[in-house]
Amino acid sequence: MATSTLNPGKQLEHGILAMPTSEEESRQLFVTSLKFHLATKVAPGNKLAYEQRALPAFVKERGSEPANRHEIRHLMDNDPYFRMWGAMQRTSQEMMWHSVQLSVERQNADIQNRGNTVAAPLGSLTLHPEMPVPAYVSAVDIHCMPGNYHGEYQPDDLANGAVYDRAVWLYVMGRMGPLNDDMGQSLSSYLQQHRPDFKPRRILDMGCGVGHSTLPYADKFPEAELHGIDVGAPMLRYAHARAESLGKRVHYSQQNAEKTDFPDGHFDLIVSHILVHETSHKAIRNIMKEAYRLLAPGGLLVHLETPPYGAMSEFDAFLLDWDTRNNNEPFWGGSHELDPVELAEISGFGADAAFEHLQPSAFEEAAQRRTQKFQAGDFGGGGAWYLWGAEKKA
Amino acid sequence: MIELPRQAKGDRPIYLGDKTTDNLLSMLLALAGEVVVLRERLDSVERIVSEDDSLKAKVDAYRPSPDVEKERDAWRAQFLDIVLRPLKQDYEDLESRSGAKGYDEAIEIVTAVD
Repeated sequence: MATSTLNPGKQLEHGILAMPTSEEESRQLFVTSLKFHLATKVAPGNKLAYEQRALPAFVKERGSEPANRHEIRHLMDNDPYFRMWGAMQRTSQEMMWHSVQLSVERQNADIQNRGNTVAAPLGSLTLHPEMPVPAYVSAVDIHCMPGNYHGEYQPDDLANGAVYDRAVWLYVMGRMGPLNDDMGQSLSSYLQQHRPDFKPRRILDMGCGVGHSTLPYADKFPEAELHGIDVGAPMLRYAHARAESLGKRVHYSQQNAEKTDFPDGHFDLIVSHILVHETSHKAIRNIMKEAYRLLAPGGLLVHLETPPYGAMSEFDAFLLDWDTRNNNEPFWGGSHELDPVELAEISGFGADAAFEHLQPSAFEEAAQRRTQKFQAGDFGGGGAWYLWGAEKKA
Repeated sequence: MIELPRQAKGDRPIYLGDKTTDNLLSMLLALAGEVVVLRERLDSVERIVSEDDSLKAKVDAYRPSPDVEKERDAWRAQFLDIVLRPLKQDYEDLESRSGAKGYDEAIEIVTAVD
């Protein structure tokens, strides 16, 4: 099913989606309106508060401007306008999860039943319940989602998969399309535009979650065998049911991207979408080495994230960095200062095999609702994605 | 029926000086959300009541058309402009700071004898 045939303003009602009642939908859409209001009408005032009062006061006292985003943060932490924006941003996040939980809880039995009774599947689901959850996932509930990716509250639970699917649509204010797939669409478009002859036989999506970004590869590379791995069982159960309801063949398995059970040289293409910032300094190095092992000669590794801090002003970096301490994304800051060249070098690809690219969002229908800024609380509003990775020499 | 946990693991920062003020803000925003829910439910009722009397089922099943969605989008945006007016005030003060006159100055102006 091509996204161009879908209503661009609605999340697609696939077979496993937690469809809200009209009242639940009002509660949910209020959150997106609140987030849009904060991003477009409140967030811009942070810069004014900085330039009009915080910065002049700092310069007057110290005789120089803040040296980096950390100094800006310490300064702005005392600004009442910034604090109010932050309090509202944090609350909007909590309201978002709550508004979806209520809807998922009401239809829990139905979702569980549909999710666990997939008839004649095209793809597959392989779980490893004994697999340890890595510390960077278990330390805090990422982006404030209660229970995180791995929390289970009933046998064969997929509730948090259902919560995540709907909440992402609200979080990005619908700007990643009816299937929340703008990241996968954009990355695969990059491949088609820049490497038109690239025909991967096997594709791996690391940290696939509920498969939002995985499914576009089934359409773009129909001949390829498509795999998705994640540490969260509820995500994978849901991802499997979702892919099947959409008629896409994907093989999902519960695995840690740092060390998988696939053989050497098994894949031609390895991708990840907003995985890197949810790992750690050590884990991303392991993931790079594992990707090198898993790729066949001539194979390609591409990670998708928001742009690195080095490409923006210290103040803009400070604003984008809000998630690190306020949205339970402890590696957000660290991941935005990674050096693709260094990582390619230490993982075996070689420094000269690294690349970076800024790719425009594939979902053009949302252009009017994008701010064209990379700022906290405005995910999917930038209109582009930062790609980085490495090619394994043939 | 299950009840998922409401609290995310990880300390919540203090934003507005103390927990109480933060809680007041969270309650205010939750209340604002429920006002929207109520308003939209009423809107559904108003659109349905003229057709038929099986209100409850119809209200629950009501799905706004793209046009209605646009109206509601606009209404929510206006609602937020009204309720969150104090923030806009702060924004405007920051914008016009250079030209702002202190209140004491206004008193001086109106009480000046000459």
